[in-house]
Amino acid sequence: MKYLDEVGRLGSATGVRGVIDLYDDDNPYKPMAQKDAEDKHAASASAVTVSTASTAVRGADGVAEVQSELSDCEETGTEYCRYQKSKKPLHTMSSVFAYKECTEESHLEFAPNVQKYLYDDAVEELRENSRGLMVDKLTSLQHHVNTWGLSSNKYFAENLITKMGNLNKLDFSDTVGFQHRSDMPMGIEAVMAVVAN
Amino acid sequence: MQVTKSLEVLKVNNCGLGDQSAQMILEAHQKNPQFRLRRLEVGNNKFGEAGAKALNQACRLMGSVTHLALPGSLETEDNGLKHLLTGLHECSSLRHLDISSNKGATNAIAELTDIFTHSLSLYHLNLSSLSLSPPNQQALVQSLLAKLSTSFNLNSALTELIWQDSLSPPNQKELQEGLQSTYNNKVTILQLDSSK
Repeated sequence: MKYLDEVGRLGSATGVRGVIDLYDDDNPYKPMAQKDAEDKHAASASAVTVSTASTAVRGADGVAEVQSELSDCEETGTEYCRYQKSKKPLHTMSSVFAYKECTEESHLEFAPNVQKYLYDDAVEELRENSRGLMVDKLTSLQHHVNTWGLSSNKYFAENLITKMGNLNKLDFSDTVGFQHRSDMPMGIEAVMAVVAN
Repeated sequence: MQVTKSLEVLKVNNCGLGDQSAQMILEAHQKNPQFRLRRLEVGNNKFGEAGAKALNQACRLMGSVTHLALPGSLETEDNGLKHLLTGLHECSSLRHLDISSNKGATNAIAELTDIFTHSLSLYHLNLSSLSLSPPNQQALVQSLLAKLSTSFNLNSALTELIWQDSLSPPNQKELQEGLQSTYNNKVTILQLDSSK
């Protein structure tokens, strides 16, 4: 007799007073998986703070709900969806784009010697620019050899490159369009000599 | 020295390098065999015969170079390009070769033919702006087509062929039609028109 006035709704409105609580015990459409119940607080918190975050969480909840249904199907032996094997939510474009794994690159481009410092001033400028840098973590380095003099490049090679134990890429190409210095090849050779030592 | 253990990419484009710098790269590997580059870009420099020979030797000794690019680095009509390409088809690691805008291609026809016919792993080849006479162009085109038409598909990996500003219109036509009619052709990117 309880559901006489709810024909066709199967009692889904039982206990509803105003706002429908997603996690209400009387809500027949509440998430069934245990993981969803654990995410309850995170979902409610994000819904209060940032709207985009709440959308994302709700999307994740939706995926999780589908997964729980699928896992139930697998348990009961009913195969509604044979291709869904991953426990992780698949990206909607995962069938379009292949995922390529790559290592993280730590790149540093040393500033060109725009002020045209010479000799000790240039070395001092290099020393200032490199102060506090964690050069041992660098994997990629671009240095405008053409803008620095031979002594600066030697200092750079002997005091900085020697500490770059993880260096993978070395780029000395002239990309700033400075006028070529006569000692540029010697500067590069000085660096190469350190590398080849 | 830890640097040489991990250094794989060296780019020294447009740095006015000469034979001595190329020799340095070779000596770097000879002194320290762990110095094995994967990518070497030395475009727009000023190498001569000795420099080309040193780069060739460096690539062959390292055995790890997959990318070799030196566009516009051989400015004299000598045997520089010939020395650079001699035996380079034996480098099984080489996949990308850019020798565009270099001089001395006329002296390197046999080596270019070897690249076409014997290289199994070359994926990208840039021959733009090489000064070749029409008969030499035709010889190269025919060697490439002969290779693609007779070999098994697995024996040629050439997929990208850039040959701008080098081929006369009849040779362009012959190459295009030959590639279209060749069953084993893998070339999917073919650039023959003028880059200007």
